[in-house]
Amino acid sequence: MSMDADDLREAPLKPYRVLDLTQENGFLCGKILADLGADVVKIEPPQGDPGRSIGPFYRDEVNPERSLYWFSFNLNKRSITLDMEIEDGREILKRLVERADFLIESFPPGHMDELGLGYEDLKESNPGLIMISITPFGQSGPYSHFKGPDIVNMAMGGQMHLCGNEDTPPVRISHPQSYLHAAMEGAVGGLIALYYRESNGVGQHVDVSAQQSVIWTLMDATAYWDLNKLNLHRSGQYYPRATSSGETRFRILWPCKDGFVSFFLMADPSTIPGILQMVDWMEEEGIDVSYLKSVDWNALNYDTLTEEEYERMGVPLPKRSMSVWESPSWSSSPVIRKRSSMKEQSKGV
Amino acid sequence: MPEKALEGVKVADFTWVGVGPVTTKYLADHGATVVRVESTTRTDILRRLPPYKGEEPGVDRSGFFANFNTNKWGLTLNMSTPKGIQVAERLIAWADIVAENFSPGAMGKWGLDYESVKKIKPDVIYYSASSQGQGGPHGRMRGFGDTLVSLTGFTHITGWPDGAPTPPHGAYTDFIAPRFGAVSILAALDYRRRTGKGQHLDLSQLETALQFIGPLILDCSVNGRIFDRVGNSDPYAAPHGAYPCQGEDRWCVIAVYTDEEWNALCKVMGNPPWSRDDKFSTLSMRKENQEELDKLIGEWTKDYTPEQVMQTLQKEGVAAGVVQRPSDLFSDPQLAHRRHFVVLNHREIGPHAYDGIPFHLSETPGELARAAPCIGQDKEYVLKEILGMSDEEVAELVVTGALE
Repeated sequence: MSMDADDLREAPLKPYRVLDLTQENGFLCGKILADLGADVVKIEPPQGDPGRSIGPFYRDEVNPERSLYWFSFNLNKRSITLDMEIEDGREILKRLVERADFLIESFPPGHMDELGLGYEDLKESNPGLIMISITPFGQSGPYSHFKGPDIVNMAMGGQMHLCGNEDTPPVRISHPQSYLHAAMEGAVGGLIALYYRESNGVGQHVDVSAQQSVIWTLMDATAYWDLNKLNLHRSGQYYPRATSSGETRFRILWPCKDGFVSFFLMADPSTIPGILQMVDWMEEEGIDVSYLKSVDWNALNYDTLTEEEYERMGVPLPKRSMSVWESPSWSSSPVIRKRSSMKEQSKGV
Repeated sequence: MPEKALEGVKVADFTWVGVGPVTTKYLADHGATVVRVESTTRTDILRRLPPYKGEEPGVDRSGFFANFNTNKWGLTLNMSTPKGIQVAERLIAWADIVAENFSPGAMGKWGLDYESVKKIKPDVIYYSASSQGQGGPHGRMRGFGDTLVSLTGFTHITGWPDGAPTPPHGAYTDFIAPRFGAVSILAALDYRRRTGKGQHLDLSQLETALQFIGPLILDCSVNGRIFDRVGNSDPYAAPHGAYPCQGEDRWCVIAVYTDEEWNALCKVMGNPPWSRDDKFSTLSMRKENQEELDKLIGEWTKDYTPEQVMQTLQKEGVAAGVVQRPSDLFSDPQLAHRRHFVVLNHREIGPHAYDGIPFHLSETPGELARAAPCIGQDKEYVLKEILGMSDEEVAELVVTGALE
């Protein structure tokens, strides 16, 4: 959505005020509500939010006003500072809550209660308040007080076991992800609560678990265990598949002349026309496609296809030079320009 | 039983595969009436992918499909028949929300693109999820999450710095886009309630995924830096990684940010002499000697189970976790406490577990109540109860093949 003044007037969440008390594990929740037009007030401790110390930094100057991490997840928000360790600060927060629609926080469970600012306290002055709490493991339960930085959440949510090579340790995605999944779940839950509130005035507490949010990235892995009692394993550049007679795998990342290209030979009525076009193109390029021409794509059965057969189909394909993305290609990518998802913003730095 | 937040919200769900069905699942799990429209001749790809009950393929036996389609009503329509299209139009006239994630242009071929649908239902909220948006030079590019994972950069930033990239498991971006999709639908619902206006939501999966690497894009545009994969390393912690434990392919993760946490870890390890070496005395020293540190930590962890390492370290205030296999999730006491896995009785599969909702609402909790539909399972209910058709009308639809 583009954000010029006219559009903002029409923004879908324009009437709502959000108090955002989150740290890095919850930033994106308020950011997405702000992008949709809500008035989001980031409330920072007097020394500034710890997230301001996370790099990378603008021109590599380590400075709380230069954190690109902070910028990314806090644009469109206002900022105030409030010392919630002192009574006056807590009173100001309570007054802000009286006129707020949402409060988002990501402190360890119990912290807000200790300050007298738990959901039960706050709803007394504002029964319509929707409070979104984002934590690694949820508000209660045996692990609820465990520390959950990203790598712990990615491990406990099952993604790390499936990520990386068979013969090297499990690996996490190099840029923290679990907080972002959890923050988005918080936004979904908060807006479901808003729909309910607008029909009957009752707010509620939204309790998000980052661990569960990560499980929702595992695609088919939990179902494999549930139905077949089979664990998938990390398989490097392959998509793993398990049967009781053994594991098989299909390559999804192929080496090329100058990098890697990603494709999955999914033979389906919706994808076969594309595969046939690709084979024709390869033939025009002078590549030997005799084996590919012999494949009956409509009859291809992935339940019986072997890894060897699959590789044989794929081997001639990535002869052309294509590469897995490296970020600079985006700023000049025509599709991104056209949709203006990326807007240049100036900031007085 | 508590009320459901989205009771009364009606969804004509033409989605398939991953992103669309996961988006509408949020609505279905919170009380919306979601009618999932499928085709028996071009069945949802996920119905034809494993795991199957008993490893026996069948359109109603895939757990992959089932997990994404709880609480939905199953209708089948043959959209190449005029009667099939007519039923689709009646369903749209009933619905608040129309959802689809075909390649851009497909709905238009059936005369069901946004502009046409608006004539049937002027205030419709029309959700289109696609790989790269409805327009632009790549708008018609087909794609699955597997390839978008690379196109968005996630493949490049996952793996070891000295080796080839290794894409995250599971068409990763397919599980980013639905969250943005659900947020946009819910925001549009509120907007419609206030203004009476519907709208077209044009979601690009690629762009939603870029939201998850925002700082890296800024680093590139401002500093000209391309971020490369760093294995399990973190700029603000050491040790920070996965360490081998007792058992086959069993690992734990440990993350130490502060000196206090480092001292706690050393204490748990029994303060071995090496841990007091100057080269590990500060975070920057530990970062500098990370490789050696990782080896030494691994020497310690290998005599314990990952559960032991996690419990012992967390008790002392050090972040640690089990690298859980899918099977471990099913015996995780925290997930049990959260009632993550919910067993539902599927008509063909029988009782089996579904992944639960990551957020709990205190007043109107979502609920997994009905297993995913077998193909076309609820056509009688949808046509008669929801659309108010007579027995004769339904019989005619059957005869003309409109319900295939």
